[in-house]
Amino acid sequence: MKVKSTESITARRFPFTEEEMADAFERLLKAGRTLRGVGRFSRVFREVDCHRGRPDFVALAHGTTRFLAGRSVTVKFAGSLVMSFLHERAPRSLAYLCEHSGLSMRTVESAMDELVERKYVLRAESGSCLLNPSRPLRQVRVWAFELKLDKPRRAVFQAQQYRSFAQGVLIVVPPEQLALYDKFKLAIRRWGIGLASFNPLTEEFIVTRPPRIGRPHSRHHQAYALFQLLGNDGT
Amino acid sequence: MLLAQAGFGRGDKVHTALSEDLIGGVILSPKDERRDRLEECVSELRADYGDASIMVDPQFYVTTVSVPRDGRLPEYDYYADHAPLSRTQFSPKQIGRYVSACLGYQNAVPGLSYILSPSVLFDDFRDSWSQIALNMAEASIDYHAGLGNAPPLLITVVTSELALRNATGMGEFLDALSGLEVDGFYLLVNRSSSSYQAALDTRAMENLMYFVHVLAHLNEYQVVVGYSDWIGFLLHAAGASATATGWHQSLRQFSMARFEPADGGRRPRKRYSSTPLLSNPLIVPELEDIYGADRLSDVLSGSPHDSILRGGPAVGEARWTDEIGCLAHWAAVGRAIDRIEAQRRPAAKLNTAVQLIDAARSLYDRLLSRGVNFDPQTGPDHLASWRDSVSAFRHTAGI
Repeated sequence: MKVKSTESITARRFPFTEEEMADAFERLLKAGRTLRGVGRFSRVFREVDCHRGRPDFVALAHGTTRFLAGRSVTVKFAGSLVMSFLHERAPRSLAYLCEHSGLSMRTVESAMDELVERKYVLRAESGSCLLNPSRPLRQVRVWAFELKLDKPRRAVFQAQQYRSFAQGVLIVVPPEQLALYDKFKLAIRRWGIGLASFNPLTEEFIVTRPPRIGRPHSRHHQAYALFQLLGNDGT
Repeated sequence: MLLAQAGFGRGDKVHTALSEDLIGGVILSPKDERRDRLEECVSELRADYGDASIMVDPQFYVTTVSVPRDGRLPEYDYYADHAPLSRTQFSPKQIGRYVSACLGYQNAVPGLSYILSPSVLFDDFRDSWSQIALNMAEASIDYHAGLGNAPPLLITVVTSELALRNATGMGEFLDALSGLEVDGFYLLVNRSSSSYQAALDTRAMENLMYFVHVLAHLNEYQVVVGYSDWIGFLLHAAGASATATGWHQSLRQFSMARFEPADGGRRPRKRYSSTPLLSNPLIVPELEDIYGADRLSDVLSGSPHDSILRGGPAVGEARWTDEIGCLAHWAAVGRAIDRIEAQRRPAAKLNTAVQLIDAARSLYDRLLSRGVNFDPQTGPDHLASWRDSVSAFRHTAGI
């Protein structure tokens, strides 16, 4: 018996593949137009691993990309974790960072050396550390987009994860798939996840449920995602 | 009793867990410990925790892996002098040498509570590997009898989910084991999937419970089941005297993949071990979603570390270090086991196990009705599988 591939099943249900839908959506995001219900973007990245999943697109809202003028960081995981414990005004000692992050002193020291050298962190005379106020993470507004032809449960689960690092999260589906998301309306509302339809054939994009813009749930993953973008060539 | 299944990155976890009374002992892993460090650890633990059960899994079964990822094992003579081994290298004389080297080493380490025999993995209760395992068991008993004042011996049995799924010959194998003059058994089940799955195949779980029941209840052996994680409470209900789990997913269920070449995996996502759910939801998004649905207190296990997450799991996640996650896991799994061990009669233990499963199922239903979204790996499908296994086991064992 010939086994049908997932791709052929999908192609039968939709006149386009997920890849074709993503290509069309990328053109829309990069057109530089203001999208109703979403806004305009300065930079768009495709499939960047943000530790909390790999959204189809990560985009930075227009005028919020100053952070990305900084230099790339090699100790992304440890660096973003220790940064999540730092503040602009209350210095934290290395011992404090070590105890609360669960990282070894060696790892904390090496992460801190790089973050200080790249000017994301300032070191006080006492050796304690502060966030550099001229490189504020909060200034960046990150959007994450998940495109799905089907599998709404998976889409909602992924979108929930993206709230760790993104201020706005949008699930984008073909128009005829919108009704499948009624079942998940409680979770979607609780997490402030937006829902939009996109037809790659007509390029019609409609936000049916605007996302609730809010602070990312995790400073650690927010910093990690931004460090990932620093070394990325997105347009 | 819950034991720590030790592995790479032990740090202070075992010492802390023993001092907090979360575990009753440890099964150390030579693959992950320098020889001098392992011996030092046994000595420290014995001095500080006199009642702790301390064992070393000799991991002799790794000798049959053709290209092994055996870590520090080559530092141990009983392994280095013999590995690798093929099926033709298990004559009675050769087995005698393996056994004397392995048991002799453990007997020379002061402070161990039990000595664990060397063994090999088998996938069928009637294949030649199972016969080799029996021969090694008998040789171990003979050698141990001549050791004089040695710690009691546990015979290692390393079978597989596959063998338990198709349990042809299991009865005969159990008959052979039941005739052995030994204190007990150390049982490992090689899982069919190397990625973590909360439930074994339903039939395999039923047979595993029966296996434990025959050895523990009917023949009054000590039965220690390694790498058992959440299914430990079901095995305690079937009669196991101790079960073990560790900090990585690879220490929570046994797979020979742990001893085979592998690429470096990605950093695991943080999870919370919930006794009420009998599973480990992801802190984000699952536990955060439960918090958003105002039901966090329903799923917390009551460990002292819960306070880190009470103000919001996503916010507290950065402080939920690997060590805290491990201690909280032992606390949660141990709590379920304690509920079983509080009962005396086998029927009462099984009733309690079913109550725990039903309560978890009902809690899942309440959370699902509030729109909480779970990854398939988190549940609740494992609960139905466990319940079916318990029902089938009760029927077979007549309990």
